[in-house]
Amino acid sequence: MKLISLQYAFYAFLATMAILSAAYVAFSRKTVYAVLALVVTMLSLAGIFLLIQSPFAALIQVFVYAGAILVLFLYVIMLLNPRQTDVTIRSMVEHRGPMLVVAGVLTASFFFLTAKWLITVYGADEFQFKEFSLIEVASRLLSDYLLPFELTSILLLMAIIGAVLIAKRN
Amino acid sequence: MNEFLIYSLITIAKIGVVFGLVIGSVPVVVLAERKLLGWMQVRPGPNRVGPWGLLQTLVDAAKVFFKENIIPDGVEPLTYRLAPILVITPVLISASVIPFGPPVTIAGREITLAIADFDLSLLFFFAVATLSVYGIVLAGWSSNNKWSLMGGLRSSAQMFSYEITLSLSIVGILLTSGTFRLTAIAAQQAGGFWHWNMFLQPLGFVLFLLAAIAEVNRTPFDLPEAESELTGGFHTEYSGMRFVMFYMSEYSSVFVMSSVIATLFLGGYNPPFPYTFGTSWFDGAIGLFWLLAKIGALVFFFIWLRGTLPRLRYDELMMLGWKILLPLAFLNLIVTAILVALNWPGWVLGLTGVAALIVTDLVVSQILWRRRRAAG
Repeated sequence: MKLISLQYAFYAFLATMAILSAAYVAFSRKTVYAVLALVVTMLSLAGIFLLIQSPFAALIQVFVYAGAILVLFLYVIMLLNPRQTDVTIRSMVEHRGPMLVVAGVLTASFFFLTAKWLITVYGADEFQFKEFSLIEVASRLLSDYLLPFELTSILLLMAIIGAVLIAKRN
Repeated sequence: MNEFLIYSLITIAKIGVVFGLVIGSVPVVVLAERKLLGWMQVRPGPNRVGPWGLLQTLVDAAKVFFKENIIPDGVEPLTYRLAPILVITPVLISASVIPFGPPVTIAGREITLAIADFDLSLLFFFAVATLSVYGIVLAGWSSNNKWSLMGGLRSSAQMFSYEITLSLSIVGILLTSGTFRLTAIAAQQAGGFWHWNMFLQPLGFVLFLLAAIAEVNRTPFDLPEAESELTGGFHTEYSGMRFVMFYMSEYSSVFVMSSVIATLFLGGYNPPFPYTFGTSWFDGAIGLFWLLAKIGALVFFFIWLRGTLPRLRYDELMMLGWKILLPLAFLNLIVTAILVALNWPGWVLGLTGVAALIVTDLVVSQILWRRRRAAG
């Protein structure tokens, strides 16, 4: 088997997992299971990042999202008395038609975009593994992408200030 | 045989050895803990089974293997069964990046004594190791027991509070060594104990040690399973094999965390005196011996803490994590970055770290003393 087709097989598996688990997050009645499904989504996305040869983004995805942010989600859900947060999603069932259309469009665009990306990384049929360089990631982040990087930090600072304000008011 | 097959066979062999080492360390560490705690509390510890009580953990293991696996009424069946697996798997996977010795040459083939050796292996360790919190939280939630739930809640809050300090305190090492690769970080500390990162990053070492103890839920940070408050904490409702998996994951994570501390700060497999490793299997064994000796010392330190310190209160835990350790980790990062950018020698870094430690100690003890006096 050619390596490139192995890449596509992995990709198809990971993309399907990501979409199925994301759908489960939206439709599950138990909030804790929804968070667990979101963990699966994050891990699948990390796998796709690995496939398009950005291991740093993949590991940060696992470390930050699965390792920290979703633990926080789980904490908040449990703090709000877990057996009562299970929701009955009547409104979602009522609007099943439009929801399915939206979900279908999103799924198709996700597949299309990531597959296109995969092709640009690997070329049409040739498999090559690029040498990873952390220095390149860092220098790109602080030169080409400096503006988004700094804007993100301002956004985070605003969030911190807001959190402190809310805490002070109480 | 082609190259791919040989590579796979070597990797499978390495996985077997490391798995055996990590799992095999559990009965040893458990027995050491019971014996040492016994001596620290002026009692003999286990001394009935076998000479000197040495077979006690084996007998315990045999007993617990044959115990009934009870699933209580009212638990969430799927996550209740899944939780012990989710706790122990990340621990075992994260052991795969630890270099157990220098690279050796066997039959003309260079073999790295780590299962996986790649750039970013340190990041991989942290990314995987943090995932074990899900098992603990799920165990607490699915047990349908208030104490278990409290244990799971405490565990998640504690994990993500101390994770930030844990990961920030190693950025100093990343700055001085310039790599995420654990084998390279270990190799850089060769040539005597004064080359160890512990002396280059004293503040980072202390912060990492404290955060690591919190991360593996050991005393004085063992709030998720505080016996006197929560019966057994998150694993109260577990019995038999499922309980053993929690138990094994706790002690194997102590082993794995100790080996990472040893690799990052205590020179890894390098002996404390200058020694140039050759590539024979014997040099690999020497490296393994020194790494195991350092792990043993760290495990002893963990047990010693358990025998000495009382458990922190929950608000004290949060205060220590967010108001003391985290700002110190930021300070360490900024000062290290400036000194590395200015290209100053290593001993300046070390002295700055020691000074910061002393100042922190004085300031914190002053504050605590004033507060206690104000409270009367």
